[in-house]
Amino acid sequence: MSKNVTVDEKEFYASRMSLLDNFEGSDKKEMYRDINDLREEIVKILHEFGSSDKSQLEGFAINESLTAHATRKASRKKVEVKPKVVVERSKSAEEEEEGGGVAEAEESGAGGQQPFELHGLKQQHSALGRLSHEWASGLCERLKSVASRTRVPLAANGYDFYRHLANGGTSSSGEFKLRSKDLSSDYVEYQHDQDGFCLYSVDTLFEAVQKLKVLVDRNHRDASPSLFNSREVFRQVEGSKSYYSLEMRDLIEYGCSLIPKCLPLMSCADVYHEYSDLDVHHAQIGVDDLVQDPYYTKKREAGVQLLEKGDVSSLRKFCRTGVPSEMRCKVWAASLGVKIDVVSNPKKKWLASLHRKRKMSKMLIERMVERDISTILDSDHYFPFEDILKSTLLAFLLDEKVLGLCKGEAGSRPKLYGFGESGENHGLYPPCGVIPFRGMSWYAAPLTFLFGFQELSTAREKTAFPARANHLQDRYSQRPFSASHGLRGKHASLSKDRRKSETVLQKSQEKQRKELSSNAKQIEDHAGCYFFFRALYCRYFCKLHSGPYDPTSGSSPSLLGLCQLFECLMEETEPEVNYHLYGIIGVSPLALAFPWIVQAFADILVPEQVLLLWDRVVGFDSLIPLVLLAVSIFHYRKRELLQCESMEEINFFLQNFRDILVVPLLQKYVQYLGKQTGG
Amino acid sequence: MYVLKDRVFNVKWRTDFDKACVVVNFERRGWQKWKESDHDDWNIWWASVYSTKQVFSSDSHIRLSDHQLINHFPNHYEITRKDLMVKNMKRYRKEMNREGRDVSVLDFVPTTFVLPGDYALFAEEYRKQPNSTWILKPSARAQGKGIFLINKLSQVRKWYATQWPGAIKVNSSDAYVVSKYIQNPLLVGGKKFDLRLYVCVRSYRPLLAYKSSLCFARFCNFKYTEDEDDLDNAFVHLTNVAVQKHSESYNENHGSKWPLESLKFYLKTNYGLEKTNKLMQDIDSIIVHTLKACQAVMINDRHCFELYGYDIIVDDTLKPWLIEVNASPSLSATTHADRLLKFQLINDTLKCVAPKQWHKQQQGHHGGGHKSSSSSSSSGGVPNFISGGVSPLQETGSFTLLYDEVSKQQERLRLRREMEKSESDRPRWSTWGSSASVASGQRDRESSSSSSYTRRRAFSARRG
Repeated sequence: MSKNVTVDEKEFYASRMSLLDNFEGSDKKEMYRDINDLREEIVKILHEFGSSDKSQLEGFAINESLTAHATRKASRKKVEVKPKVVVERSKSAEEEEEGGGVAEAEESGAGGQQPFELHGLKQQHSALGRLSHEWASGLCERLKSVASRTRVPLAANGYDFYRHLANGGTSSSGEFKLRSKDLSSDYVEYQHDQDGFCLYSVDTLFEAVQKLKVLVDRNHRDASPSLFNSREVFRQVEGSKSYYSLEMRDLIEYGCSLIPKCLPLMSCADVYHEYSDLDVHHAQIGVDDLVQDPYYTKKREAGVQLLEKGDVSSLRKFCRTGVPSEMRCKVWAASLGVKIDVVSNPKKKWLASLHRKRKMSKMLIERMVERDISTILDSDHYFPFEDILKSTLLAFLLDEKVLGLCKGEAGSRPKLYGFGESGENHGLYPPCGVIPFRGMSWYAAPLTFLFGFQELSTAREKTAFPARANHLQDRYSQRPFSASHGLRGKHASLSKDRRKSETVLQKSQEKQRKELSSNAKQIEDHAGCYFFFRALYCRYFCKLHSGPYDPTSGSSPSLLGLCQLFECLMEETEPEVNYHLYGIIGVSPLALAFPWIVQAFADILVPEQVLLLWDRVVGFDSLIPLVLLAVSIFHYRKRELLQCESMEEINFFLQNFRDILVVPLLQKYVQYLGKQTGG
Repeated sequence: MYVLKDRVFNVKWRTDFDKACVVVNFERRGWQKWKESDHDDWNIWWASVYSTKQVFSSDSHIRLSDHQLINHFPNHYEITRKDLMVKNMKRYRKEMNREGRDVSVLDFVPTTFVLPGDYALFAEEYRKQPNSTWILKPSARAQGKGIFLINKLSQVRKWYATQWPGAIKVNSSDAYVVSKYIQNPLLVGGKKFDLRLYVCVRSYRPLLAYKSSLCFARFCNFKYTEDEDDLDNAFVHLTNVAVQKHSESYNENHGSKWPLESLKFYLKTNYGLEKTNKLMQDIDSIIVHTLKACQAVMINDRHCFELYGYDIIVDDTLKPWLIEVNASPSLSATTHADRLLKFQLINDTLKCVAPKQWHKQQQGHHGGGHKSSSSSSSSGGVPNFISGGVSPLQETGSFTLLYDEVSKQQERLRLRREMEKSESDRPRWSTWGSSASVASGQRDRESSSSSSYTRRRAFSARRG
């Protein structure tokens, strides 16, 4: 036990001691020490699931789960039959048990209430399977804890699926259960700063990726080809600077990369070969249209012709050098196979049904996504598009078709399932099968710029001011300009009051009717954006948080593949920067670039630049342009980065992306890549 | 004439506003702060409208010397007061009509009348378009104070009776302007916005104006509706930040300010490149024409410059409408981005207006500025304010040259000479006089103003 224990901690231990006294065969002192170990362990475990707020961790999480852990320990002591199983199971398995513990503890405390359970999907015992399982179970845990703390049900009654879930009996497996205190009541308004934490963040994802390395290293240490690669790199640098030698051994042993190199990989030459369309020899929207005006119009004419033909592959090729902004919507839609202009009737109905569902049921996760959206609305570029963002993302959560559209990704994604009494599967939670993570809404944000016009043309009702307005009412007396002139509130007499109340009633009815019709209209207006977002997400962005590379899922590698490619490109083309960051400053370049890639640069570039970058994503039908941009930023900032000596300085140089022009950076880097590979 | 040999010329600044963006910009240049004991010894004064009035009032006895700059023109209200602006525009329109030029380019001000004077005219106009909505603004107030909307003539009549009871003589500062309300504003995300543009005028005769690229759109926090019930809801109709700040849904992170680049990109995406460019050109044309409308009446003191904030509303056909011009645009920042923008704005304004020599001092040797004499304007070291035409090398930061009468004239002269030259090959119209008589009335007018300008310059040189 450490010497300087604070008063709070003492109190904390004292309160726990009384609890622990109840357990048989436990020596007090031993227990005391155990608690300390446990505390650390739990904090560590919980930390992995996306909570950066320590106080919250130590406050809530420990209080709840310590007893559970103690229970588990006690039970393990008693039952000496399965120690082997316990050892074989990794950390994630332990957490499952812990979760069960929490639930059990709660069960004993709050009997007679309806249970609500969620099961983490059991995955095969591969490293990746474990990884996604950890995401799922971690998120499940957090959801449950927030739901119970804030007394908000995961999903309220009214929506069949969830009612069924809620009516399920007690659990059979005893793994993930939630005792929501107030399931049947309607949505409880709550304000809590921490509820956003339930969504897993980019950091969590990164930690998971890092953990993967440890897992794989343990298994394939000898076979890992990464050692060879990084050794090559360091041999180049080794001779020049002597003080590197101290860390050399470590670095060579662990490799310069975080991602194990056992996945199939593109070589730099391959990359150049495939992405040579991006180099300076090709005119590009995003740079040439700024310099010479006719290029833009020429490109647009070419685009119109291609659109008439409707050939997907040539449209994609057209996207590779950028799309003029006024036809981006159409060109992307054609190359993604979404029909924006005529969103068909069944599609509209489907969307309307989603919105109906949304009104009926409120999910906790919906609240979290709303909070996620609100961070976007703080940005000065996107705040006018609040409505379209909300309706798009919230409908998306309920769309059961999403999973089917994400081809080849179904197996590798973390999922949560609802289970009934006898273990029957009730489907996914949330229904779209995508566990949203913090910042997911950023994928939809830049798209809002493409759909403003539709909203504009239909949303406004061209009604002149009705003539029967009699006088202005004194409803806004506190508002700024009502006090300044003597019009209002002076001619109210009794008879007028009565008339007024009648007209007010009429008006309110009218208003309701209007609102209803305008809501329906709004859904129609947002339909284009919704199906566009869904297509884009299912084809590309879903890969940014799914694990392995699946060759059947289209040409784009997913997150791990992208990270690997990034590290590979950094090693081969920017060895100095790579080593400087990794060896001297002690930060992996991937750690810096990871958030950019996972967010598809949507949160750091200005909207126009984001869409120019995504042009290339659509054009090459791959997420690799994101990686190329990430490396080219390091390439571009090389000189500054090499002079940096601390994390603060690095962050300073990699902080402001507002002025960055995507296309010239890409061009410069691809050119450089060509030279490096001798292409 | 004498020269103070050892005097180190230090730029002294003075300001009436304790705004960080002003103060920091002066300090960063290594300029000295003005003290009370310095009295009239300042070089640049970022003054309030009030102190400008005092400086230029006839009984102040202050005669500005050659290296003093102040940030307002003596009668800036000719352009910023809503009623005077309307008057000037009307006169300008008549002039253009007389010269036979196309006046349709001037249709960017909504139909406007000054109350109480034009009440009869307004009533007549209203009867022509019943059910239209009008906006009433006090002509001498800012920040959205005292503004309201009406859609019934009876409302105005009642209000009129309470505002000006009997036949009391109306003080002109009490005047209201009533203008046709733009009922079909361009909406983004269902919300109304207006544009705030910054224009820096260095001189009126000849006109030399810059336009800043640091612009933004100011949004209403509530969705726009033409519903009569919301006619008195300021949050729906007025975009002034001073108004919107009080809304519950006001967000401090963006302050409802949308960068111009976002708007441009939005328009480009949804309306196409050509329409967007046309809008931007139309906006430029609005600015130039309003400045030209006031050119004749403005007292063109060469110690003055002015930074205007233009408010422009765009309607759903992408036609820009001028709402008003502010002579003291708000320099207080509401958000971080806003702070950066305003700092940059002042920085670039100073780049445009302050003499080069002042900046040199900042760049190179601190404190060791150049020597100068206080009275001579011909000696090399002394800042020479109006350079007459702009060298392309002048640093203007985010400002771009909007209108430069001198270089336009030079260009015209050059063209004319070329024309003459080509004509002299075929000797028909070989004399100056004949070619001048060919030139349009407009050219005549401008060349006369330029000649008066050259005369003035000659005079000032002689005086030195």
